[in-house]
Amino acid sequence: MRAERSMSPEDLATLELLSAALAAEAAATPPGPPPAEHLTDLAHAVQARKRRWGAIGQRRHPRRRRPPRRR
Amino acid sequence: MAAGSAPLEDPEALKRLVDRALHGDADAWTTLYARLRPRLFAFCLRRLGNREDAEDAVAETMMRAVRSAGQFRWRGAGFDAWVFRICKNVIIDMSRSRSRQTALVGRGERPLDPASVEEQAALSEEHAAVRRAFDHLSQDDRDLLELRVVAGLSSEEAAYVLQRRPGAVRVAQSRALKRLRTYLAEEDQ
Repeated sequence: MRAERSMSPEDLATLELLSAALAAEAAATPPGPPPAEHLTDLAHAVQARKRRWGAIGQRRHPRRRRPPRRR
Repeated sequence: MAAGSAPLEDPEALKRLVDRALHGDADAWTTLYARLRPRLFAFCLRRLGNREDAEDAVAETMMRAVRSAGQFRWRGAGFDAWVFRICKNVIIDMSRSRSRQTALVGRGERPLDPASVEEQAALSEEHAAVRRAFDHLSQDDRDLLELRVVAGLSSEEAAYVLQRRPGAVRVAQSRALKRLRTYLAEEDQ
């Protein structure tokens, strides 16, 4: 939980109490390590994405150039 | 403190890591997955009620993040908020498909796996009271507070996930916390 300056002390205390209660719940049910197949699937998805689009984040199509002005 | 893990480390280091991921670095994605996994899992577990669905939702969230990585821009609320918005949509999709398969589970009847029943007994009475009070809140209130507390997002990031204005989210948060205090006071009586 991130405390924020705009919060009243009362709200902050309530949020901290809630955070502790839900953190206890989360601690009682830890996620464990990521399953190996998830990591494999993730790596495959990244490779597939790279093949299909090139590097992720790059433009799919280069920006069109304005045609030269007619004289 | 977020329920799962610390929300952010060095923002610059995170930005470099995300940029590597966006350029197709599989190791960077694995690191991001490991970093977000505890919070995503805790968030999904609260919303879906059992480990298997939570695991599936986390995996699906990261797969969708990879597939739509080209749409991510730093000008939004940041990478974590972007992933949690995807996660929220995954949970909605899974809840819909589950509701088609089984009867709808009413509020306060969230199914718990056998392990969590034992876990509940181990929790302190105060925590249990807070959780009971929390379960009385509306779905909108719980959505917001879970994003703040379980997902460890700021108000701005939670606003991005909920597609609302940050100011409106701050007001809604204050009202939700006030309602929570009211329910807690009723628990004490």
